[in-house]
Amino acid sequence: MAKRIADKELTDRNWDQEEEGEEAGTFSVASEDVLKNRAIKKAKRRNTGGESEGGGAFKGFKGFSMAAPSTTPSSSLTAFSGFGGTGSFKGFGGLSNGTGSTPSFSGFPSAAKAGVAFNGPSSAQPGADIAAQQTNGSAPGPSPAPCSRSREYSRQLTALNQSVRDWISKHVNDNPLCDLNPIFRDYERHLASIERQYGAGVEETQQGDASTPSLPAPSLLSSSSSSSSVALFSFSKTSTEDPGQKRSGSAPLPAGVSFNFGQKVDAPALGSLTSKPSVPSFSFSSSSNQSSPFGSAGPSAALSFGGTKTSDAPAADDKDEESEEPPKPEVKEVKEDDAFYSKKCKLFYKKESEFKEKGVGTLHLKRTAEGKTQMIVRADTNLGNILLNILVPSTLPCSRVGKNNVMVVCVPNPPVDDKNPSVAVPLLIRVKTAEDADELHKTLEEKKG
Amino acid sequence: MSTRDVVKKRVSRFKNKGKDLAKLREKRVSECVELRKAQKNESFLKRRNIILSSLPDEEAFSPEQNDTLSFRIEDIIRDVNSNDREAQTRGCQAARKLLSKGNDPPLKEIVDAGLLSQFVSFLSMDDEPTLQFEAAWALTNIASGNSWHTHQVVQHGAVPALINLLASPMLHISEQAVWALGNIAGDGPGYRDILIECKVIPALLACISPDTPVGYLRNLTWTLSNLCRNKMPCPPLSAVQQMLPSLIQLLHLSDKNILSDACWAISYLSDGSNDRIDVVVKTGIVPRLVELMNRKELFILTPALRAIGNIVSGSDLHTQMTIDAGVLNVLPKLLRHPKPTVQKEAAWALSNIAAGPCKQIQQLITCGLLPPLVEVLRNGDFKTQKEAVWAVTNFTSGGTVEQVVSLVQSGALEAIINLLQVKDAKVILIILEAINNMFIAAEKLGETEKLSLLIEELGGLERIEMLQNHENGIVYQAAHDLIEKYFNDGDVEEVQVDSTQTGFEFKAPDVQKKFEF
Repeated sequence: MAKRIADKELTDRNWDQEEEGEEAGTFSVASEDVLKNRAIKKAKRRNTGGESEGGGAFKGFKGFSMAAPSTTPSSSLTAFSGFGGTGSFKGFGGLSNGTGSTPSFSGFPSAAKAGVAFNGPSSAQPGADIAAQQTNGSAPGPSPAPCSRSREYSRQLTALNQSVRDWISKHVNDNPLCDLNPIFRDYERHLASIERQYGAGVEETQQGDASTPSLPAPSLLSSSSSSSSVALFSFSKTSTEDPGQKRSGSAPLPAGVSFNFGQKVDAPALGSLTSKPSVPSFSFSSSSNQSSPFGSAGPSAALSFGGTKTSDAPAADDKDEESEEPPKPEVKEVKEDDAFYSKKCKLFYKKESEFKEKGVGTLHLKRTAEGKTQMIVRADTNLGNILLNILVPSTLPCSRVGKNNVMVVCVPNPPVDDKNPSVAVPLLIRVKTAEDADELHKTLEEKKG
Repeated sequence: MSTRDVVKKRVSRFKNKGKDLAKLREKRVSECVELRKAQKNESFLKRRNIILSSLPDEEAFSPEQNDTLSFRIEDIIRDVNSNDREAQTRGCQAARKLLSKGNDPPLKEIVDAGLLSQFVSFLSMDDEPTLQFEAAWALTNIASGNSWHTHQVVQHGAVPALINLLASPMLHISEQAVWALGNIAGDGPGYRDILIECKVIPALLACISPDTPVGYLRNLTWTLSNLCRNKMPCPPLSAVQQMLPSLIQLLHLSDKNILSDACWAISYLSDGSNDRIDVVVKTGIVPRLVELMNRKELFILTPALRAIGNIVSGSDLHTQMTIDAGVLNVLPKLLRHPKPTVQKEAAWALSNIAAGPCKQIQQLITCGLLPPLVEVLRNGDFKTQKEAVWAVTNFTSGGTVEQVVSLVQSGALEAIINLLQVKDAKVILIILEAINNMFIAAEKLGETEKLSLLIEELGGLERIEMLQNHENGIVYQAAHDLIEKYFNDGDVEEVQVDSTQTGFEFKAPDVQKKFEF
């Protein structure tokens, strides 16, 4: 039973004595050594709406939900929200409510990850109802976006989401049997692009066949609008019916730029947008509001590519009065010299039947004095916690798995299970691309033992 | 000088004859107050007699410095050991006065002078009431010393004689004996139980009558409370059952000192196993205790609150009796009491009620205990906050899902989150346990995401993350596990290692259900 007896004897003699006060104080932090060996988990942020959300949500609190502003439910919303639920929404270490924690984790820029912007009402968004929809605190709801660092980013993202919503609602209304996969692929691509430009994403090498970023968009887009011309989706079997269809039901959509989603539209090509005139919109439709995708300079009015900038400097643009640019976090990465191979990765370990994340970091392969190979994975934080530190024996099981993973089996150091510290555990190393995975696998195979 | 003159002179020196009564009374009272204050600072369980209430004014004696200082031990020894009643009385009284002086009375010297046997023999001289009285008074004051002093008194056979004196027709003598016995009982469980074996309780109880003056009853209640006191062992159950009816009677009187000491007695008796608590509550005393808990006098409120606190640490049935008696109407007031120790005791009691079944938790909610609970979580001193945190965790553990939601809505979650940085690792662990319990409730509603979001908004995520740096490894682990379970960033639940080309590799298993909002 949880009953507790009195902690102190009370009598007619001592009841009146002044008790010594006890200070709440602040807890002591563990030593560096101890900390280095701890796997520190970063919590997923769901809310980037800022502190102002706190009081209000709490006041209007019902059950465990936030005070959901009245959403505008529509049939489309269901699908959209469902979308929100089924997407692989990983929050990146985003800004949380204003206590100013450093978002030291940039999102792992795998194409598989897409976050949905969680635009709280505190940021001035066009189409407040969109924000409301996304504020819906329902369970699978939109997960936190990657750091919405700038107004522009928010706007871009809003436009993207609005477009998705509209497109899906239109098409699902027309044909509930349609396959939405391609939409999601395109969404991912667009999102990744926005992130690169406006978010705090880890820098990515330019994707495949993109032209240099300085190319003005229209031409690039036109070049990439490829064969399917008007119907940009391989969705064609169901959506070709209406090449000329306009975006509908998108009144709150901001006017402005529209992006088409062709197979080869790669984000870097889009450069960056200045924030002033317009909020771009993304169009999934085969038409957007032009009959041809970006062929001409027509849309350039909307595609206002002011100085095209590379994607490296998202924070450098968008310097209007409105944009709030929180300072980029100074992530001083712990340097690992004399590593002959280094790769950014995400490390997982198998626990029971599932893989649990150990952390994001950089994998290094080094040669030891005895001529052996050592694998070190160090977390991408200022502290540089060791996520893994093992020798790579020749017998190490090492396999290529999935799109971009390599799996090894070994006794993890530091241990993942304190109760069984010397049990071998499968570890999954996920890298950015398939090529990277191939490279890692090959290197390990070559260099082990 | 004629004999008469001599006598007169001595008497005038000896007693207060001829002196102004009012002045004497004043003096007595002020000295009494001074000495009682000095007593309070000494933390032993005995009391030295300076003034006795049963004494009629003109016989009461106030220690006059000149007289006491002039007594010498040799004279006292000679007088006490003589065969002359008068000399013995004189000697004994001189000793009593020495033993009654304010600073540093010569307890040891008197014992070492070998006077105790004589004093004890004086106790049985029914034909010499003055001598009996002085001897009893002297022995009282010796017994008020430390354990060695009390031991001396007992070893010289004082106990049976004192118990016999309880039946004296002279009230002041009987009262003095009550006092002496109270000192002996207060020494510890050993002498307490010896007294009980000597049948002190029936003898004491026989002194209670409707005519018994208040002052006497005060002393008696105090002595009874010493007989209820101490654990290891607790007083014999049979003794407790003998005393309880009278204690109940005393608890219904109106004199504040009596009420205070009677509450102390009950607080000692309820400080024990559930059997002990059972014996107490079966007397039907609980409603009266709740009433007394509501008094403004701190010296009554404190023991009553402690007694109730003990009772609610018992079984659910015991707790229900306090609830039925209205304790939940008084607790909010006490949670807001200006004295921190009262708040703390109230929060402790609340935490034990919250450890009960959900029916009782519901009563907590209905009777409006959540707002004051949250207030002390926010503003209380740390010891009170600790108790309040226990209340929250117990609540989340025994409460229904709806009740836990009410708790969260009341602001308790926010308040405990704000305590996550304290030094005390135990408190942090209790808070994390509460949060875990809240998630368990949320799971039943399918609302863990909402709770995660709420915690994030309340600033909980930073704090929980920070706890991973705590020097205490258990705290680190608990924080880490909490994040992993409910705030996971990139958790791969079922890694389809042969992943598809779409972005749905990380499909959460229950996502299909969530299409309607």
